Amino acid sequence: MMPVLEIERLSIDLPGRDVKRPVLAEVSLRVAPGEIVALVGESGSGKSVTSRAVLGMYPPRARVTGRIRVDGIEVIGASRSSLRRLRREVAAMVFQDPRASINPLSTIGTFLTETLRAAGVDARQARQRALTLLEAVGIRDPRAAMDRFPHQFSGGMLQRVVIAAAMSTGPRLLLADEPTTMLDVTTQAEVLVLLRKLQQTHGTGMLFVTHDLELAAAISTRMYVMYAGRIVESASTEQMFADPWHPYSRALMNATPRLDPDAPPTRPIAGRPPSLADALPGCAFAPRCTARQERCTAAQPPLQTIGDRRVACVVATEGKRA
Amino acid sequence: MLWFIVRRSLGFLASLFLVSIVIFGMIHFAPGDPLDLIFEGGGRTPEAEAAMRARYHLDKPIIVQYWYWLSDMVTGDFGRSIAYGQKVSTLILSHGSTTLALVLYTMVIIVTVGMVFGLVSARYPGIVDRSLLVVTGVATATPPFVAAVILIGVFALGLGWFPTFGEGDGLLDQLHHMTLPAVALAVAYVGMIARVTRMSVMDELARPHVEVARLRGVGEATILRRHVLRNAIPPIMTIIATRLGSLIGGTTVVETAFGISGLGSLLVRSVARRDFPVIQAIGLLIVAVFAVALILVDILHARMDPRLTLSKARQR
Amino acid sequence: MTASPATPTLPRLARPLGGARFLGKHTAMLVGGGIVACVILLAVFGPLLYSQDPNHMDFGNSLSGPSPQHPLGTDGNGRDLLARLLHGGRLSLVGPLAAITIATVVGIGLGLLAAWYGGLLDSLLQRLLDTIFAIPGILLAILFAASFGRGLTAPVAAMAIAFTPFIAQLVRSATLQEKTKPYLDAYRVLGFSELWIAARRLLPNIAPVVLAQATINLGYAVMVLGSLSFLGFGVPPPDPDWGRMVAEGQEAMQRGAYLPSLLPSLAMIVTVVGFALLGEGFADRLARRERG
Repeated sequence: MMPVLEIERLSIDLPGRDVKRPVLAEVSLRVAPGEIVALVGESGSGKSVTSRAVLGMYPPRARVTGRIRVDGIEVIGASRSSLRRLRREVAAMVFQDPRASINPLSTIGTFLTETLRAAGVDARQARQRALTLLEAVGIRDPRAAMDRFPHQFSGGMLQRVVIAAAMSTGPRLLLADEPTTMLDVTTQAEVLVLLRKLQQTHGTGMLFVTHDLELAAAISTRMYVMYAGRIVESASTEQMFADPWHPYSRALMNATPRLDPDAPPTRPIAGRPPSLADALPGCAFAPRCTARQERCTAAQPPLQTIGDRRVACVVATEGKRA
Repeated sequence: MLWFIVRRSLGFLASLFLVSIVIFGMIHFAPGDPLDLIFEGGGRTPEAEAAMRARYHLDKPIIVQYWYWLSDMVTGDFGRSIAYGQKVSTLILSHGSTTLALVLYTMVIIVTVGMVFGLVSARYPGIVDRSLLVVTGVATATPPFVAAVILIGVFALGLGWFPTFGEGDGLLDQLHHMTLPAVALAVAYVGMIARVTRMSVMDELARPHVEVARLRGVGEATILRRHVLRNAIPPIMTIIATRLGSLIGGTTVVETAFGISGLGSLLVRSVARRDFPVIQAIGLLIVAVFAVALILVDILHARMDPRLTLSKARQR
Repeated sequence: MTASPATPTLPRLARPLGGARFLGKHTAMLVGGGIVACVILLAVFGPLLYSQDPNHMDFGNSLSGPSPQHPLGTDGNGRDLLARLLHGGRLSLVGPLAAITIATVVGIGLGLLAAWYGGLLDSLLQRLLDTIFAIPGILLAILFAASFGRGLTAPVAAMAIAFTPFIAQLVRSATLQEKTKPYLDAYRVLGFSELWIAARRLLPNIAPVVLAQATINLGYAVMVLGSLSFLGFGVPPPDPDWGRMVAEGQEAMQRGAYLPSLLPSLAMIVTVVGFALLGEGFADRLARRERG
């Protein structure tokens, strides 16, 4: 079956004297229909840039190479109207801050029906759809809510509204960029449950971007780990947690606080993630890696496929067979 | 909402009250006999003196004088002009319509030209923006009287496209006569509005919900209308309202320069003639109009932005 | 021993030019400063160096163009335009300078008091400032001229009153911002009096912003006082000031001579632009410094 999202060797470069490395380098990933895939990385790893690129939004003055296909539709180089149709009907995105996503002077109703109206749906039908969705995401008294303004809702409720809006046109792909980061833990759980439910009901594929491993574990079946603009490891979530191969993935696991009293103490990763001004010969993680060897800084480690996993680390792939 | 209007009206009345004290006090501030001041412009006859004494109750204590004056004003009795002999209210009505037309015409120019310039500036950064910034910068530094004289020189005397004075007869002729005066009055404020529009629009264009709307596939036209412009208007409105007082004051200059008989030029002539009933009435009127405009803008502000409760509508 | 707290920034609505930056970071300030310096130098030293009498009438020579005797020509009464322009500069600047200086000093005092002590004093002050704000500056000046007659004193007093609220509001909000900052508490703990703290520690921190706003207001004051002279109030004839010169020039225009009105007009525009650029350039620099 055709994947609902396919990114092939996506690279994004920025001009400028202070930019010494690409924002994204040869990023490839895939989301099958109905699948939830997590894209994990620290801030600055390029995960948000990746998710925005899927909708055809690139950083200003960027040079973009590679291919992105959403449900078969080419994104890079698409015409304006093609892009608009893609954004309206085929893919949708949920952002970190719901308050920043909604026009404070518009009612929730307007926000919810905007996309539908842009797609040509008439006002009454759009309103109907919006009401149904509001109920589906758990907003009490949808009718009254439609006429209210964003500032009258809590963050959690607003995020539900945003999710409702995202699902309004029945997209095949949902991109979620840190959708729960700004919410408290209880609400986080609720929103996650909601996302999972909707995704299952509508069969939407989802790319869940986050820096939080626990979240990724809770919601996804497959994971990609990103560092400094590259994919460094990909595996099923189970495999990733049981046996992370890439030193960075392993370090991430170790750095995550666990509730389990028997778990080993958390160990933060030394150093800091590279900025765009840092030129990195060889493996980008080498400066912070405990398993570092001479050859790590000599050349960029290639992303190698071993079984149904991929990893970009010369040390990790030692001794493993394809 | 009603409570808000009541509260603001009370504030407005308080201000008006204080201002009226200032305006009333005018003739008493100067050293010497108020009558000397009043008749400095001439016309000091025993009848005129008696009339003034009666009008201002000059033989009574000053508080009483003020009270009489104020209660007269409130009931619509603005007295009689010393220079013209007519009732001041009649004078104001006849001259007021001209000034009103001028101010409206000017406002139309300011809002349309100003906002267009501002939008263009925000939409096309680079050389277009820079050039417009220079133009608007010079415009803001051009007081109405300078603009008036330059416009007369170039367009009236030089090119002969417009008449040099008067307000004309009939709608079209009036428009023709009022165009240069309206432009002269508008110049300084167009620059200001253009810049505020530019900044406000640039601010709104940069807001995340605009990008999100694009990412949701909403059309550019809708985005411009609903997400950018609508959000950008409040600061523009505020600036228009706060500068309105200055604009009304500018009518004195422009009407004088163009020989238009409106309230502005009437005020100027009345000052020269020490025609205090007229001076006081026009002064109060201008302040009242300005204050009402400010209240209206506050209300509009609150209606436009649902986040504002009416108690904190406008911050100056 | 100076902690360096962030300087408060000018509210955006107080900036007529909208804070535009042209070519470089400091261009606005430098160009503005240059213009203002030139204007002031010309006004102060011009009349000393160029000794023609601005009031000497020579009817035979009226409305003549530039000549060796009169480098910029003469006006309708045969008076030398260059001399009138230079002398006019003095008179057109001295009024606004006086008015803004008074307004700034009084504004700082009132704003500090209101913000520092708060409560009833603050509310009363707000009411007072609102009242002043309700009267357009030019109207107040005209009213004063009506009561106090001709001459510069009345309009200057009116301008001083009219501009006080702008400075007072600015100082008040800046003080309110700064008042709660911990570095001031350090002084309190050490036993310094409130007055001393306000004057010697708070004031220097808000002074730059106030200065920037005062400069911009100076431009406005030049325009308003010029308008007043144009109307016939203010500086009494025959002394020249730019506003009066434009008014006289209007008549000359009818007779085909454009210089008498054009020169003072340009002088006024250039001067106001200079003040605006200087004030806003300065404010921009302050804002940038605060953003770090």
